[in-house]
Amino acid sequence: MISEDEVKKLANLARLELDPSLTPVVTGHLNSILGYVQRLNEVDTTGVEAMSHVQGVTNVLREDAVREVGSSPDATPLGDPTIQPQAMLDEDALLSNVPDHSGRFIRVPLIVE
Amino acid sequence: MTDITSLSVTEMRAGLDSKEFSCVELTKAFLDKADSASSLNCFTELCVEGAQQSAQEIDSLLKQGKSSPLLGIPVGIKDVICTKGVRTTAASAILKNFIPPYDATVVRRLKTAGTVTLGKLNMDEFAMGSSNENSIFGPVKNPWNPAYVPGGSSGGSAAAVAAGLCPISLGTDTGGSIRQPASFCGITGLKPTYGRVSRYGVIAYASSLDQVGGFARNVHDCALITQAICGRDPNDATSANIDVPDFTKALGKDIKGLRVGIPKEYFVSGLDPEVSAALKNAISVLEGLGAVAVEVSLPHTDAAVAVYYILAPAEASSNLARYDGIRYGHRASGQLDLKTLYAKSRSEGFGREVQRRILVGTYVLSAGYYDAFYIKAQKVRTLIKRDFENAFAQHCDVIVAPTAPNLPFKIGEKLSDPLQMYLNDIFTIPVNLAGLPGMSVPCGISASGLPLGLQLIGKPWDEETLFTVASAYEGATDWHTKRPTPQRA
Repeated sequence: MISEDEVKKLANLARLELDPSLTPVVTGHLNSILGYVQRLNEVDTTGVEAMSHVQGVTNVLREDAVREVGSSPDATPLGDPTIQPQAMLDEDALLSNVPDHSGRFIRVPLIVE
Repeated sequence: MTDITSLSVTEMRAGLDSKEFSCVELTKAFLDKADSASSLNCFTELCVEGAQQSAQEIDSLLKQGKSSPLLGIPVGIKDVICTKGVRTTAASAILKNFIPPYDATVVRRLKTAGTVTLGKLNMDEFAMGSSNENSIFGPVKNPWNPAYVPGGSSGGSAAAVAAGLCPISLGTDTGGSIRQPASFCGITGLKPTYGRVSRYGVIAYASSLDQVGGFARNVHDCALITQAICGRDPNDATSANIDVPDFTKALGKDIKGLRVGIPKEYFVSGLDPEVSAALKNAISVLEGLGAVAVEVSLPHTDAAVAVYYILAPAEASSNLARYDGIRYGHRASGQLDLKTLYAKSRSEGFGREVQRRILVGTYVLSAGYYDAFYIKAQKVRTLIKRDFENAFAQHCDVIVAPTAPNLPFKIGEKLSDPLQMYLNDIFTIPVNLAGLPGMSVPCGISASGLPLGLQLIGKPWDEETLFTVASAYEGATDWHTKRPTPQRA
């Protein structure tokens, strides 16, 4: 069983701010889910390897090569179907998604006094 | 004149090639229809201008005599898949203003195939849900009866195709999110083998399980959209370097002697009697076509939902750590210190189900619980995969099962009990855990007038057998021709 205090601690670790009035409900839901998944204790896994990739793929490596990184042309109907490695993304398009920025710099709260 | 939005992709192809109608006309017909069916809440965004512009461009290619299976065919895209310059939200407040600077590989592939993007489709937030009720845009309604859920998480993708708002669409499937809504909406949906399709540009939920796939109103159209999106992508190391066969060649073949496995563990108590009856009928149809039904055993079925609700939240809690309100997405306002800024931005941005899964994921990955939960679940996942390997190696060529244990349920019915909602995916989750291809095809209508789905499960990389069986089944039945009657809003 997980307590309300443990749920608050978890929320802090996950950087979530729980509404105090909802903490009992959330705790109840987590207990019901964690209680349910306990059934795995009944499964004998002696000598069974933990899965790391479902198709058994391990390291996918590529040549560490220098390449020209231009901008990626947009896909066009019946155009070249080859999928190229992602090129540089447009700076303006990226900055337009930043919630608070000044010129090319992302504004963040003061971290070091 | 026939309603051009009700045509199959093949019929649209013929109409476009013979200049019976233009791509601009076809696109307009769909955009108008989407507008008139807005009460279903399928779309999160309609790309009116973009679609019209692509349609004009494609009309000039058609005039030059160019043709290709999907040239000029309108599509809808689940809003978890990035579309350059078109808002992509994952149905979350945290991404409500996010405009991707690039196209997902699947979108690139569709655009190259010549499709017209009509818009983005509603879904459960971050693909977490089985009812499409967890969305900042509100619930999607089932076109067969708007009081009912369309299934989830790709509810908008399924409902839009069922209601004829687009002929084909893209969804994603992590624990059943293509197959279950396909079943609830009476259409065809395929989750390909893990690694068949690139996940590049798909907003991540649980990366070891997520896979993109297509929805359609018939098996042939489903083969066309699946064909267009498969293949290796240098931008996704988990996309496999395996040849993609021509799926249309798998259609129309006979299934004499094909061994169809029926997992005995799937006939559990709690299986809706109508679902059970529809499955038995479907098996007789397949037997009538010469297939041989054999009982198989998947002994770890009962553990699958538990494995999923450890692994998927664990992966989600790491994947969603990137939403911090700094570089993109929602940022809480006010003069806040960094830690409070993170916590406030995330709590304001994520819905309840998403926060619940982040908390579960954080718990099972935390020191002291990691071995007992996470590693244990990875071990049982190995056993679940072996169950399927044994069944396929010794007994059968394909497995058939219900897609969902129950009929579509009412909006609001399961919202207060997350665990009951999770158990709705009991027959679809094992397929994701084992990385297999899975498909849902319509196999009945309940007494209450709601559709039912038959799930086909294949060996890894063997989507072809699924297409063969689905096409044979479709040829012998008329469930795929049933359409919801348009509902009054």
